[in-house]
Amino acid sequence: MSLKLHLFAVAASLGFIAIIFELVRRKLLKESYSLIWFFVGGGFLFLSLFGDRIGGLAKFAGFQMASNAIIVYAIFLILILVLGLTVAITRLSKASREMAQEMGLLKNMLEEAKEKNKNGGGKR
Amino acid sequence: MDSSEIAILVPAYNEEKALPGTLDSLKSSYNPSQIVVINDGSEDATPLSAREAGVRVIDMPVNMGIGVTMQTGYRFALRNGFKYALQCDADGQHRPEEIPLLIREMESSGADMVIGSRFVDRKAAGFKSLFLRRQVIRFFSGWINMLTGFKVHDVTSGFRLVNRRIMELFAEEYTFDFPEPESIILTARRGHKVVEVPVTMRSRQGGVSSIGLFTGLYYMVKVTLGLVLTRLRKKD
Repeated sequence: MSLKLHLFAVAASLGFIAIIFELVRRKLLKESYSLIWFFVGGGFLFLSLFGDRIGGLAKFAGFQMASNAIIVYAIFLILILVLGLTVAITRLSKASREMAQEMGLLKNMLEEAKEKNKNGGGKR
Repeated sequence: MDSSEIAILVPAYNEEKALPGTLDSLKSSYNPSQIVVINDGSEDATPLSAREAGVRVIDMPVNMGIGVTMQTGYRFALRNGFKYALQCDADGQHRPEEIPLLIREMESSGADMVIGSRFVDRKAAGFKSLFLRRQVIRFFSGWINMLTGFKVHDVTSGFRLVNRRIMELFAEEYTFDFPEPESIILTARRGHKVVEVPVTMRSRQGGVSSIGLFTGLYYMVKVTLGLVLTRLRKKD
């Protein structure tokens, strides 16, 4: 990697981490979800600093070129993240389902109670 | 069975055209306090016409789909002490005058769930749905038979009567996208008894079907897979 590319990659990684930090600070990202993104940012930073030296690791795993290894690992990581997100969505949709049902039932109870009150003259 | 112990659950999404007629014929045999329209976030006058009819109304705050809507109905029936719950579609396909057929079948067979079926008695008249849809139903019927050993012909029929045991099950656990076929497996694998009784259905009396071509394909794949998953899911 050229020095220019090195510097650019390091700056981009630090920028990424800063964005995550800012999102958590503004409460746009839940802390528990931010951990995984800090981890990803850390990975970026590691690669931009020591990207040259992972050639051996890639060779060890059977890759001809280090860049292939990085792409495969990155895609794998992204898929895991997406899977995690769909699990989170499932949980959310369950919560919203329960709330919608309870809301519907409560609204009905309220209406029927009001109706009863009106018909019964309000006093027992 | 005392017919006043049945909650008649009518799920409705944008059914302003057909709903008044359905409710009128229901009211001729049942008390309005046992007729429950569950309005699934309709954008038309569905909730209004239900209230004008003087029946009980549950409004889902947003459109949640038939599964969530029906489960809400089962929860309602359970909490309000009904012993039986009958699902009757709002679009006029199901004939309220045939409800006694389902009741009698439940009494005589001791089943936990009775499904009103278009296909049990093949010679019977009435609307049998489109050719393609009939093939899909036949396929699911075979699939369910393979997975559970139960032979149900009209697996997509929403005209069904359940007792309190099934209400309790459905209030806890129900399938949400296209619930009719999967709920049969849910019921069967708990060892509950499911039977069918022949009924005649009409074509819908207004409004449009909720299942188009793309949804139809999605339906096929989703339900085929869903049936297997429901069979495998842990029972807790």
